[in-house]
Amino acid sequence: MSLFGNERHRSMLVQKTLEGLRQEGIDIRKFPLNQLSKFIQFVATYSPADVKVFFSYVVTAFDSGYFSMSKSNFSAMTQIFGLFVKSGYLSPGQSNKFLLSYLFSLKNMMFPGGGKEEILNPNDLIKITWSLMIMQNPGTMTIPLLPKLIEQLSHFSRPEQPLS
Amino acid sequence: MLMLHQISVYVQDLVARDKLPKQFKNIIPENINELTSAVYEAWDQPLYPEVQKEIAIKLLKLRV
Repeated sequence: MSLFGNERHRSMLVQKTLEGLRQEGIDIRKFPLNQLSKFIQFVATYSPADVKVFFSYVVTAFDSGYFSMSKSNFSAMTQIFGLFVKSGYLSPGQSNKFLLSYLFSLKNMMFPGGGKEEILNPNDLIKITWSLMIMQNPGTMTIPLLPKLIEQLSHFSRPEQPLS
Repeated sequence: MLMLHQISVYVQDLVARDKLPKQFKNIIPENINELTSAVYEAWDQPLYPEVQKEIAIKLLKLRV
């Protein structure tokens, strides 16, 4: 029998881990971002009410400079960012260091320098475009990277008339 | 699928408002768009139509 064999086991594991973290007073910032990202995804599935705590921690950690964006943790941050948007913790008009760091990191991923443009992998591309779209007020497009993402999504090639 | 459908609707709205060029109108290929629309419609169905109907009838009766 597998430890993660069924939903009930996974749910119990998440509940017990959360209980352990609370009782022991463990600072989640000590976890590597990749592991934290996976754990937050489990929490979102099996204990959605607790995602708020992780959101506050992650935002505070970014504000205080405890975490920073890098190429190696971009994928993990994409998962966390998408999850926070989907859960409604990041909404239009909001601005914090976490969001701005993510956008800066996204820009560096898409445009690594030397006039090159990197094509994101399809899953990340859809998730990121959707998340940034949700961060917009209806009918607006205030994030400059959004047209580029939409362009990548449509494989839209217009070198003679770049949109952005 | 749901995300793709919502992105497509968002982009079409921006094209209609002249905030994106018309070439963007069909950013999702037609066959995929049909599929995502079908998935969205299936997802957008009310989960408890009978219960909702009963509540609506009760609310109508309460209205004087």
